[in-house]
Amino acid sequence: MHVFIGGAHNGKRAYVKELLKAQGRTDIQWVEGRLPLPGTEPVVIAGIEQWLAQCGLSEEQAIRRMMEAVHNRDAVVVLTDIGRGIVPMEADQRELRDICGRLYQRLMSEADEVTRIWYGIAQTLKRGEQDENLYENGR
Amino acid sequence: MVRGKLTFITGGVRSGKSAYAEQLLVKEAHAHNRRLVYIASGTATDPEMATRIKRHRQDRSRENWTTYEQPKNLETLLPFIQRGDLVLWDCLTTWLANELYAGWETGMPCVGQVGCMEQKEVTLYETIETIISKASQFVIVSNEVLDECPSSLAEVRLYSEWLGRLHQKLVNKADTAIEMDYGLVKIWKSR
Repeated sequence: MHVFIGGAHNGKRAYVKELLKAQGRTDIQWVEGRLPLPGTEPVVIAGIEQWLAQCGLSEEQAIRRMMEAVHNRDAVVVLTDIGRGIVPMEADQRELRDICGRLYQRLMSEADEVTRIWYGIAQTLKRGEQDENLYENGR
Repeated sequence: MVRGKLTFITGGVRSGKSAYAEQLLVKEAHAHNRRLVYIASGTATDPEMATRIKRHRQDRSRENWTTYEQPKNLETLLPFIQRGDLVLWDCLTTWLANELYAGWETGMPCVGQVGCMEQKEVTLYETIETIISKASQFVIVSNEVLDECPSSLAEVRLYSEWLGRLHQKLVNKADTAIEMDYGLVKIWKSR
């Protein structure tokens, strides 16, 4: 799994589209604001924060669904950082920030690669875990 | 004439971005005996803002800055920019707010008119190009405000969208792009 993270309007999707084009993977399925069904075909998932806001699931259920959706497949996940602003007045917005934060941590810990996008520029935050895991699993 | 250097600096509130930007140009001014120009886009809309502006002015008074108050229409300053100037613009976020909501008192803010901000955007990029064709350095200061939940207000969401769009474009144009965090300097781009 490759996670891309950055603030709103920082050019995350444009960057991922360019990357997929360069890799000749323009036919990859792209889902926005919802989760794909679990499966094995490659997928890009973006707008998780919108899905979280309206999915009506508990935090535990939401995280389980998310992890099922990316399990054992080539997944690119685009995350919008919403955790660095003023604490919102509305309780549901505060809760959303918290759940997002914990879900993002989980995704990043499981990801093989994490890239931050800052106004179109990419920085690798994590890479190479996959090989270590393969080694650990003895495969 | 060699194109001047364009530097884009952004950061959170009180991250030290203005001080860093000023210091960058003051060093150059001393080394090459050049004029320091400060373009201020903030307006004193309340006493707190007035105090803030006063503090920025005091910080700059140690050096010989030529200050222009330009909340909007940056292009009108072009005749005042001289060859070799070291220009600092503080900041893009206040300018964007001023331009986006310009005309609200007549009920016709720019943000509500089709193509209005798009036109201002084009003018801004042209103005920046003209400034760096004359100045030896142009530093643009902005703010990091896009790492939070989208606002429930449509006007604020539009503002965020425009700011992100301008930031991406300016980072792309810039020779140097810097993010400041509590006085720590992160250089994202340098050429």
